[in-house]
Amino acid sequence: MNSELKTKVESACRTAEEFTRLYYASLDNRRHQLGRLYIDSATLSWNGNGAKGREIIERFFLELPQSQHQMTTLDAQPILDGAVGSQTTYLIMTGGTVKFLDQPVRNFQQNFVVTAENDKWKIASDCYRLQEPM
Amino acid sequence: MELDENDAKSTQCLPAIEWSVREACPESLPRLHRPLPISHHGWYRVVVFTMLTPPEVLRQLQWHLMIRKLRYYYFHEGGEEDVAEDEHASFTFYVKSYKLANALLQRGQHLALAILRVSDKPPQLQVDAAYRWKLRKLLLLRYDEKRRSLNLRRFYADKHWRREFCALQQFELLEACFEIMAQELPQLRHLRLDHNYLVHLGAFSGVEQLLPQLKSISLRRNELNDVRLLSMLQPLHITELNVRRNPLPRNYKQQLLQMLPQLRKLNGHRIRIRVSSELKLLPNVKPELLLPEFKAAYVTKRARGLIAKIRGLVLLYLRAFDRSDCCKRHLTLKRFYQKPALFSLSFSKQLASILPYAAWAKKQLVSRYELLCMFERWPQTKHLLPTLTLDVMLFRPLMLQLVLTGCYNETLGKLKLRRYFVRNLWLTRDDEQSAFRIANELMYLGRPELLSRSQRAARAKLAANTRMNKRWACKLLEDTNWDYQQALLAFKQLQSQRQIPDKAFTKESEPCALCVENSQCVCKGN
Repeated sequence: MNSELKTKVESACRTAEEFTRLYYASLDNRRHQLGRLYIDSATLSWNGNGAKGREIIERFFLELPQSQHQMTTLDAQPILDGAVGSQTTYLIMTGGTVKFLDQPVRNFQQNFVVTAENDKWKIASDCYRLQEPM
Repeated sequence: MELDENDAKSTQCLPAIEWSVREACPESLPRLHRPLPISHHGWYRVVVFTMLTPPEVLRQLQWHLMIRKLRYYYFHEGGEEDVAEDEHASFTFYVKSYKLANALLQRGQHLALAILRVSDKPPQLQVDAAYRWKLRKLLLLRYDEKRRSLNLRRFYADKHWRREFCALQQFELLEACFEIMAQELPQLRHLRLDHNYLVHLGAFSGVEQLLPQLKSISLRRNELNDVRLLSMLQPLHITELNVRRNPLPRNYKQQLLQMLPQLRKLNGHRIRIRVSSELKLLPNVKPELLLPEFKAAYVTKRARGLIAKIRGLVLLYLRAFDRSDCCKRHLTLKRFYQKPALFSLSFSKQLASILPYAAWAKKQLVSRYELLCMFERWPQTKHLLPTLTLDVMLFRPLMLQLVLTGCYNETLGKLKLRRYFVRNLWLTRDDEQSAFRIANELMYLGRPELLSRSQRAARAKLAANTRMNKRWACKLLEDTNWDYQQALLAFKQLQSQRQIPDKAFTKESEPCALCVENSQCVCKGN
């Protein structure tokens, strides 16, 4: 791995760590502020239920039961090709356990595409999946 | 024009006598004979008390009204049970015009050997199969599939009901409508019942199960006069409600918001969340929100035209991955990856889960060569197509982001394991004609599961009945060769001898899934 790539990967991991910490804190405790973590045209797929646009996504989350997320795995990669232009874009994958109000603890995995917008990290796409019992 | 009901009744219960009094002294009692109230739905009930046969009475009526044929509906013998005075009538029929009903009320008094009672009461309907069929047809006609909304405003006045009566005011009818909606429109989100003269919402009981997705209800212009009537909506998870133009008491909003705390919009206005001291004292009523349903696929709008191609690509890839000569994955998978391709792998926390993959944990692979070498050394797999989910998240002409989850069976020596995986794929192509190839891949692997479906069911059943944790339930079942009854018997025996340790009843943080056939627990509860 060349040094340029190495620094890119490292910064992706650092960003991912900070970003997910903020994200899950917002998701569990300050949902009304969650919308500001998404870009205007962001896409969300929550267990297959789609929502497009910041406001619709925020409303979608407000209608979910109270949750408690415990993140146990985290993985991130920078995107290298030209399709995203000069915009720094990272892929983030998280996993862990979640407890929704009155429901048993379940495993979840979440995949983000985050991109830098005005010096802030914002989500362009967010795919949330609860692990179905096998 | 409308009178209150008592007045209407008092004038009508003994019409014949009243008429004679009026004839005797028309000036002295001018107000006694009140006009017929106008019926909401345009239907009027005529009950007849007589010794004559119905044709005889009808003939008389036609003669008195000077009409050739009396157009009547829903004729039946006997009275109607909803009003005490109508109960013992000889027969009943309905007319659909105020003019006719009023004429019947006036002229009916001249009948010989028959007493008529005319009122604005609606027909009492039996919802039979034919009626239900028609209801279904009309509901589907009024359904807006795009917005998932059903507008039943002034349903009784629908032009299709010209010869038939339909008022959602009637419990059975509204209930039948809900049943039809549950069958035909389970996705329904918005329901408008404006202007239907609803007086209560009894039919809403159980609707939360029939229409789990229902989010907004409009009840404008109905006859709801008490906030408590709206408590029928409590089990529903509605966030929008409109009850404008109902005869509700003046301070109803506050009570309503306490009753339905999940509401976000009332009467078309957003609710400002305000925690007043009064509200704090109330018992903590938490809004009941439901998790959205599981759906196997999501495709972003832009990629909808391409979904067949994307599915095909994913299936081709998985088939190439599952090839029986898995040591040749190098060749079969090569064409799916870009040359500089990033790959990283993450695992669930339990170490036991990563055994065949340990060498590649916490490592980022940066070239296709490395990646293909790794895949060659992975176990033989068989992806289980029914478990797959696919989310097409982003699509632009030159890039595509997919998230794929599901299970595959993995052969590891003699063992066959089932493993959950998530793959986040970033695909690119150089121009619009060429095929997408994977440039970035993040993969997650879950703990493998060894038990068959029936074994897992037995374990869950035993755990539930004995309150043991899954690991101990598993142990016991292994000892009894997965015979549930025997395991239960063994449990009872052991328990009476106090041979089951306390730790068998402590809750595990995560279920044990690694109880191998040779009765060893690989994960040791980690």
